[in-house]
Amino acid sequence: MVNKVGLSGAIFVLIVSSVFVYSSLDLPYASEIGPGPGFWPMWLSGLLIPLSLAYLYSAAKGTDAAEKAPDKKAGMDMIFILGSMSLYVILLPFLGFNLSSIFFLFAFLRKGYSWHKSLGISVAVAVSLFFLFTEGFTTPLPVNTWGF
Amino acid sequence: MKRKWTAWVVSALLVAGVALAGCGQQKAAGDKGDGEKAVAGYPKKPIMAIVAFPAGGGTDIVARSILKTAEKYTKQGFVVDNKPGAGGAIGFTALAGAPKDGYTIGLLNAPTLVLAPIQLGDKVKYKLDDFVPIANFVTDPGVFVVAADSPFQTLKDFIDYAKANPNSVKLGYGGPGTSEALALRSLEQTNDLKIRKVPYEGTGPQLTSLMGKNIDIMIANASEIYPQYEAKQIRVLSIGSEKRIDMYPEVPTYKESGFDYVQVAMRGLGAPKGMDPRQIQVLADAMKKAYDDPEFKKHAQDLHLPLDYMGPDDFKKELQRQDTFYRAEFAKSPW
Amino acid sequence: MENFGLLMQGFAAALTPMNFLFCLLGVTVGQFVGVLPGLGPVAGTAMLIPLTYGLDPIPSIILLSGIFYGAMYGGTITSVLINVPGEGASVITCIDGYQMAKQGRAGHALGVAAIGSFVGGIVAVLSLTFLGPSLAKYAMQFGPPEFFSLMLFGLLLLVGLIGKSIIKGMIAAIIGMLLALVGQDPGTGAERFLFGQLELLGGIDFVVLAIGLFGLSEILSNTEENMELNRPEKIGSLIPPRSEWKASLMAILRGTGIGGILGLIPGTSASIASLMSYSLERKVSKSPDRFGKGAIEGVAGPETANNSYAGAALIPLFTLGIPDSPTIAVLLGAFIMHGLTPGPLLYQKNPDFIWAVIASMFIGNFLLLVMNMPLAKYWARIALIPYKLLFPIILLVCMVGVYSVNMSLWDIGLTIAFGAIGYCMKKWKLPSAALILSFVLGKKIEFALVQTLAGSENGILVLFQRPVSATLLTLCGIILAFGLYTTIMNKYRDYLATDETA
Repeated sequence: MVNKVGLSGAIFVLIVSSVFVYSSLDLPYASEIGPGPGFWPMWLSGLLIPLSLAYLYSAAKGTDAAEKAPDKKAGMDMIFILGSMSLYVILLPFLGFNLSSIFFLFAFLRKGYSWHKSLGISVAVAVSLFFLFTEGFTTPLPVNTWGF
Repeated sequence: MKRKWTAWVVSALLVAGVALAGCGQQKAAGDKGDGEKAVAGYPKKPIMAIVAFPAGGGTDIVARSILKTAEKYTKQGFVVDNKPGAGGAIGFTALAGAPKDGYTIGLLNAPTLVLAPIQLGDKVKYKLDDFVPIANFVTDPGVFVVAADSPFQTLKDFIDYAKANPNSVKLGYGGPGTSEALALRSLEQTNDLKIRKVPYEGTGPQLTSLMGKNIDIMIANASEIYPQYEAKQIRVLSIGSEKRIDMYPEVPTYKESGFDYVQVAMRGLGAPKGMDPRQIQVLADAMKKAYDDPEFKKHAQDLHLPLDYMGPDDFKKELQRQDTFYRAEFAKSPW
Repeated sequence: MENFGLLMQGFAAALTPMNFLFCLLGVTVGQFVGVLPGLGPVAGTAMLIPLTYGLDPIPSIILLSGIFYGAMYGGTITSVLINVPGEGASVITCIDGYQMAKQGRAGHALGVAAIGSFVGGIVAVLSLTFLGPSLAKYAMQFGPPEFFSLMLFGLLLLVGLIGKSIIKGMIAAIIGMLLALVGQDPGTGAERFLFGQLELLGGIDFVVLAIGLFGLSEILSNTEENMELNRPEKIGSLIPPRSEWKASLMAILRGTGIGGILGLIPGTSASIASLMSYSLERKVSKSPDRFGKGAIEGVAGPETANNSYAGAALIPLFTLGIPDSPTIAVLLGAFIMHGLTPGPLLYQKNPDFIWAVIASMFIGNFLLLVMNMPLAKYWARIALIPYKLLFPIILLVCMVGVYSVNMSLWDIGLTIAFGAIGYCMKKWKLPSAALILSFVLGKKIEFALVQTLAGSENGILVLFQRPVSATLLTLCGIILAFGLYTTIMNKYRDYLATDETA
């Protein structure tokens, strides 16, 4: 029986190894000090190819020990988490740290708490983190055009 | 229970924030371009100094020692801002693009500053012309070093041996593309040598390898090996400055040893181009006074810094000399 | 005995009320810094160095070593509680520490880590104060070939131990090493694997990989358990049950030994020490199956080794004046700022200073233990915060932490991607601990190999001509052969079994 999750893993590894083999070919194998920047990558990625083929073989034969894929609800939750994080990164330079963080936290907390509680926690956490980093560690965080 | 924990998390964060803010250094807002270019009374507020290397490193130490003394003469503080990364390129780029109101200056490291634009061209976002030199404080020459029990007594011993036995002497250095690599290239070409060059990251590992006999000889900066020299664990064969220096009085220069080459690392102060020349003069005067101050002299001696003062014009000439020299070397064959 | 008297003098110098206060402040600040993802002990200490510029040398070194130890312990706290390692050396702690927390034994894990760190740090410094200087000379003969073989040996041990399949372990380890190559080649400075992104020039940051592969992927996995952490009913005490005392104590002692020896060898790292200790614990255990499922030895050993490494690593610094590990280099920077150049003569010129530093390390370790005996209970309660409230905050704090390392939004994006990959790796049973540890060691391994070859007349053969390196490589060969043999036999047996049932 073919294990689909295992198969996807084997194919992923095979793609990664091919990308690295391909890019290693551009790097010089030797240099004035002996081994060049391509020496070690070439060997490493070269070794990865037979290993990923062995992985592919066992996945295709169904002897691979991969777990089963997540159910639909968990899958949606994951997409929501990764999506909100990506959106956060995109909005950060425009909205500034405080506003985007408040939105980010609120989106998650609203699921489990009343709206005023969610808002209160979001504002408190975001603002205290902002001051901790900007004042405590003198690390500037992104701000919007109004300066917060 | 729920509410209690929320409060706890938040208050913990707040306490940490306040505690850290309390002891954290406040950064000076040094970039308000408020138009009043009054040189009279300059500087009116603390000046930010960008250091392109981490806190506690060689350049940082030079910056902090001289600026601390200079405060006496400018009547204003200096705030050191460490912007390390990419071999200094990040900090130099920040300095080149800094506001020109006189309140941001930075440390210039030659030949690092000079080499990167030559080697990498457009990939580096600054040029030598983007900086106006203020003063140079330290000139740290390159040195050839062997273990105390090495058979090499002079640089000539090493050259003769390497000539007779090609590809057998192991030499530790900072890796291709550094000013050390260029000095070695010249040494190999003029004497027709073949040396096994082993790259190292930092002088510490290099010294370990030298004393553990994993390399036969190494090249490094004079200031970094002084403690081991003082303890007589190593021997310095030759030094890359124009003339002998006080720290190593008995060590001959490269030239005296028959290798016609100058290899020095400089640490000085500069401003972004476009800053008011009168402001630069104010700072240059203050730096000269600080340099002559016994307090700085004492500190420099404790830290084994090879001092070498240059004013704005001399420093500029030296930077241009290096630029011309390395461009010619690069034209001969790139590295 | 002369040293003992000097040590007592050191204590007298370090134990003024003001210094004690500085140590306490350092440990507290350090712990907060260490708990925030993104700031490990090295970065944290380096950032706080400017705080000490106004102080005298002894208080400032005391403050810094307090920060350093506090930050190291802070990293352990996050490793155990939310599966986010603060630095390379605490990756190993995540493996069993986080499992313990899931079983409601976070208190035990934190307690044993604090005790182990204390014992490891103190025994290492004490014994090495007397034996160290003579041993340090031998340790110096370790050259690039030995480092290469040692690191390879350590990684192979790990690959052989984690997970069921040696093939998958090797795949993960090689991918980790390839990721470490992104950026600039240490030998020649050439750019590699940037895939057109200049942001990658500085390489991938450890924090990005660690938070993505460990922290974020864990949160993704939890969605399958209805967004509920396996939440313990109670926290449990800090002192492990009596039945585990002997095992923990032995692990602590072995960890002390391993960390102490590796610390003497300039050029090794705390990650290697914790890696070796974990491997050893699993090897000597009567029930190796418990590892990865919350074995207390898997926390006690590595946490001890990593601290005893840090203590022992001071010996080469003081006796030979050679700072080799980044952590030591940070402290060194502070020394220099105060006009003290560490070197072979510092010991003769400023003995009072050296002994005060050693004494302050004792005090720092001690304070950490005393503070955490009551405090760890509170830290462990983080696991009791409702998960629906905790996880968005963890996500946000992780993102800010990642951003603060390089001020780069790109790094947050990369963390999100590694989070997704880390989740998939769990499904695929590719061990992410092997990936991240080989990532930590990847650059060093390559650089050691380049140095070996650059200085070798016989090319790669030199690795077999030097006795220490040859022995280590032979052991590598044996592990590999054995691992492959068992993998193939297992597969073959499974194959026979499925054949019969069909």
